[in-house]
Amino acid sequence: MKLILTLIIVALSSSALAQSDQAPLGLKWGVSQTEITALGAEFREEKEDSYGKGVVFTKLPQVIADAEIVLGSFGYNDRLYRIVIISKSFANDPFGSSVLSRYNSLSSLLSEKYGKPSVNHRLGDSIYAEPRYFLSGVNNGRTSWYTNFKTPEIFVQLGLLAEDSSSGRWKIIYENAAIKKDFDKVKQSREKNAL
Amino acid sequence: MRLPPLVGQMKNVLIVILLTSVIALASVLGLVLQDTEQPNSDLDRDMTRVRAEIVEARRESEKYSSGLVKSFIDLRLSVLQATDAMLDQKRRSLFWRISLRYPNMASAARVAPDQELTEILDELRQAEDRANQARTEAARYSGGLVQSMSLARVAIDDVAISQLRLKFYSAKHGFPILTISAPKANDSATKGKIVQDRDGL
Repeated sequence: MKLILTLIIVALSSSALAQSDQAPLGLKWGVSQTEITALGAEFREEKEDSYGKGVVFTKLPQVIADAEIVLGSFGYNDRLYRIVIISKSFANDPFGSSVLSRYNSLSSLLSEKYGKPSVNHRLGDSIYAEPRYFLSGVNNGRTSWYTNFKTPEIFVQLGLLAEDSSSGRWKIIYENAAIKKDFDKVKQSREKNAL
Repeated sequence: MRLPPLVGQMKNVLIVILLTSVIALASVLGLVLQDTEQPNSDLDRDMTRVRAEIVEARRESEKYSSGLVKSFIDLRLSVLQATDAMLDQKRRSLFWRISLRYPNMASAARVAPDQELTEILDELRQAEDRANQARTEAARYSGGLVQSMSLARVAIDDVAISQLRLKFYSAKHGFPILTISAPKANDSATKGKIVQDRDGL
């Protein structure tokens, strides 16, 4: 009986562990740039930025139909901890109706998965409060439109971007909390040493 | 010593022929110089400007090792180099009075009227305004994703400007436009198996 219970616990914990490694688009958290190619991903390396080593994925095991750009950050220890998905441009729509509709459906889906979000929808003042200047406001930084989802394992932010006054995109940022914590520590110590 | 009358006459004829040749040659040279001075100085000005932009585009391209922004800067460089080559060819053809023909080009080579040039210049000014706005936007950020996207937008606008300049010089000096295809937006898109939102996210 004891043996059966132990086996069940081991099976459950390994399944939970496998689940926590699972990142969006068929990727895995914590994998290195070399390991990620084994998952069927291809990428182009970018310059190191404030999130460490960065890549632009050119091929992924899974993609979302209206996603155009997927970026990955591997920190300073070559472990995938941050994924950013940016949609195609929803053009000729200053009201942002099409991109807002997509944003709302994604928000519902992410709420089902990660629980109740913290919503930050702030319309700009003056003309930016008018619906026809919605994307203008986002583009000028006068309107901000994003929703945060947080679990102990992951932080997800769904937001809107605007390229100009009539073209918008949705954006989702995923961050693995545990690896991000390690990255922040390394970053802090690097900054301390640099000063 | 007196020369025989026949030799004296031949000498006079030779002097007349020589003088006539010198005058004819000077007239042709004067005509050539007068004809080519104006277009050459105009072409030289345009070529100087294009070459300065080539130097600047090369310098910008060297800042990046790879990526979307670099690919657009390199595309701009190709357009500028093509413009420079066409202007140089035109300049040489004018100087040596060679008639250029472009049998494989789709668009006919002709000098455009002033109105057409003004329209292209207006288009060019609008594109420059857009690029300046994008530059101001990019300068607001010190790094990160938003700045990368703003820089990509600047690079795309600069490609549009270089293409419009090629169009303008082509219309102004009468040479056909070489078509260079810009990378499509989809070229940068991530490829892979499309899945339902629920499975992918």
